[in-house]
Amino acid sequence: MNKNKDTSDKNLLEVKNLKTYFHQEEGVVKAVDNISFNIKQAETLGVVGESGCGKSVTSLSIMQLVPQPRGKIESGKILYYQKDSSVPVDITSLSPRGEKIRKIRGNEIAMIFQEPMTSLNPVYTVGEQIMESVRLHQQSRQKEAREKAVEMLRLVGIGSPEQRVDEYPHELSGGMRQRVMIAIALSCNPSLLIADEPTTALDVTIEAQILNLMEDLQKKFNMSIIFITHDLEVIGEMSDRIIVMYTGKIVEKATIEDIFYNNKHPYTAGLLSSIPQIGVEKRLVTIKGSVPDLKHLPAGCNFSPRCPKVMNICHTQEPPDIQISENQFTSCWLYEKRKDDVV
Amino acid sequence: MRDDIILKVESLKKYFPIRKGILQKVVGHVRAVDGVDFFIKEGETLGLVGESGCGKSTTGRCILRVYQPTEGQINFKLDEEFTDIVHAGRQEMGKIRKSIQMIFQDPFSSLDSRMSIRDIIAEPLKVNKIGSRKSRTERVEDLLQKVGLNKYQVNRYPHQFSGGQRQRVGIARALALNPELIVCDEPVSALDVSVQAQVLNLLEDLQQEFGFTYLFIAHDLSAVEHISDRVMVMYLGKIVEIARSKEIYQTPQHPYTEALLGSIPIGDPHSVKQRKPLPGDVPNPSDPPTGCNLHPRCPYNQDRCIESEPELIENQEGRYVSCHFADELQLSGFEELVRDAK
Repeated sequence: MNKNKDTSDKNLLEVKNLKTYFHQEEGVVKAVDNISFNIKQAETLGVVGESGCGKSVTSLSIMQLVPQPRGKIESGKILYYQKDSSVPVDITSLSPRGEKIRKIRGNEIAMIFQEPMTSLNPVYTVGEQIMESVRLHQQSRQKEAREKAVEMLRLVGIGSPEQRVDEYPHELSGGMRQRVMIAIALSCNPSLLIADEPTTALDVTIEAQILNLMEDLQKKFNMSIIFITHDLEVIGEMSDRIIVMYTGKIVEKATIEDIFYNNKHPYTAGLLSSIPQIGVEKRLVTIKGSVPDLKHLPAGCNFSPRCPKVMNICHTQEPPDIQISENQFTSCWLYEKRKDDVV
Repeated sequence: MRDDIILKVESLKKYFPIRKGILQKVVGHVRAVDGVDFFIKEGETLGLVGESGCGKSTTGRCILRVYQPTEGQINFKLDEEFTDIVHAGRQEMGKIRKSIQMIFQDPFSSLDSRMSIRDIIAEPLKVNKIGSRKSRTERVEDLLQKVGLNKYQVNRYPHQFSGGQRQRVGIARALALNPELIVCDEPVSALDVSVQAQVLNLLEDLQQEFGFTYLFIAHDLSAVEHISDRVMVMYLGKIVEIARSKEIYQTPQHPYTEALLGSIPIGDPHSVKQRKPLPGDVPNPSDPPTGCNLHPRCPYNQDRCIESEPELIENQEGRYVSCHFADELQLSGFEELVRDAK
């Protein structure tokens, strides 16, 4: 667990009122709709949600990699504090193909993806793929870059790295490929690592290996991690704080302690009760219905048709962001103290 | 659960040939299933867990004879008599297939996108020439309600449904012929968390109502524990342990089972977990290690494990394990691996 890690209070990244929409023929898909959060240095922030909740589009927005031309960051700010400057850059203001974002992307903010099979290039050796980012960002020479690649492979726990460096991705197992992806991501010593479902395609024993590795490397590199997954158990093990997303919006933001023991939003509670617990023999409490289509969202609160605690107001008005405690926010009408309630 | 056995699998093997060169010469075999013995009792749920490539899906498919097994027997009880599926003739197989159905992992590719829901669910009835067109439609509507869909949706096509709803259609199709045994091959792995729970509950309800027997294949250990009466663990084409669900999670007897339990991610911040993953990867099933398959990764391995292969033996009543040192090892159960720090 991450309990003993020293996270500083300095923000590394601040996302403010971010909206990323996709303009499709059938209408506008609000993949990310007005979300705000921050991440501190050396902290692990978990982002959890089901398919279509906007968790991957959030990470693509941070990297300025939103698919063009359909996707567009409509408004909002993504403030990133670079390594040696106290004035933040607004990533949304940078051109997606410009020089400035290229210096950040892959260098200071790195990303690992779900599918280690498809995210590596099959016609280059793993060494060449690690060296590519090293040479690009650190202007090192061929020989140095190769040494760096071997060193990185050793760091991520790949045996006999001197030989592996010349092998092609198809010669490696799934777990090893994910290790190579991590090696590429960390080769430039990033301040922020975005891990998008990094263990979803892996078997449980391999998943445990990769999670251990990520924790070790985080300590070694002192970096922040945004850990995106649909699996609350994995995210609970890895994160300090958690953001729960539903249909493009953040429904709850809290520490992992509060998410598991003091959660406020009915969706968070529903997600937790849907997971079978070993040794507990009772019927699973489910959330009724399924995630709505982003093109046809309900009026008012997006969760209202599935919510067990739905009230009249939920069908007509969007819930506000309500602060529960210093570190806990939820967007739900249940916690709004309306004037007429106070007697 | 009754104590009558409905399916008995004996030394089942399925080898896939590896061919190379212009002449497609066989240069080796992938030993997907390498000699497994087990049985399923009527009305029970037998969970089958293991990592990818361990042969769990192949085992399920051999039972339906989607794959012709290389060796072994699969005896299925049909009209109070056991018939060997492996050697059954065409006519017998036709009868057996009515009684064994399958639910697939991916609700997107397991439904024909050009067929309406009515045609998809009625197809097994049509193939077996059961009922008239009208009575089949009635049966389809009835089945849709059983799986929690609306009967007015019969004319829709798969793309109009969400993943969870499509999986319900797949379940309705499996139920159409009133089967006795249903092989569920990772039925919830492709679904969203909130929908997984709905489908697990549905499978349990249907079992209660109709007394189906399930072979529930999955890699998600908590889902398997939740739904199964007994659990069978496979590794590299072989069964390493079979026991009642509670026993296998509380007192595992095989080091691989212990390692699987220790790998389950636990989010609860109040649990203290010693994550001790097995080192290395699953070996290539075309070139398995000597002796015990697990020995290169096993934390307790000794010389004997390299030299001789352990057999699956009934260690205690109803518990089967294949490890030379099953009696000597003190393995930790799930509760010990995840201590509550409250």
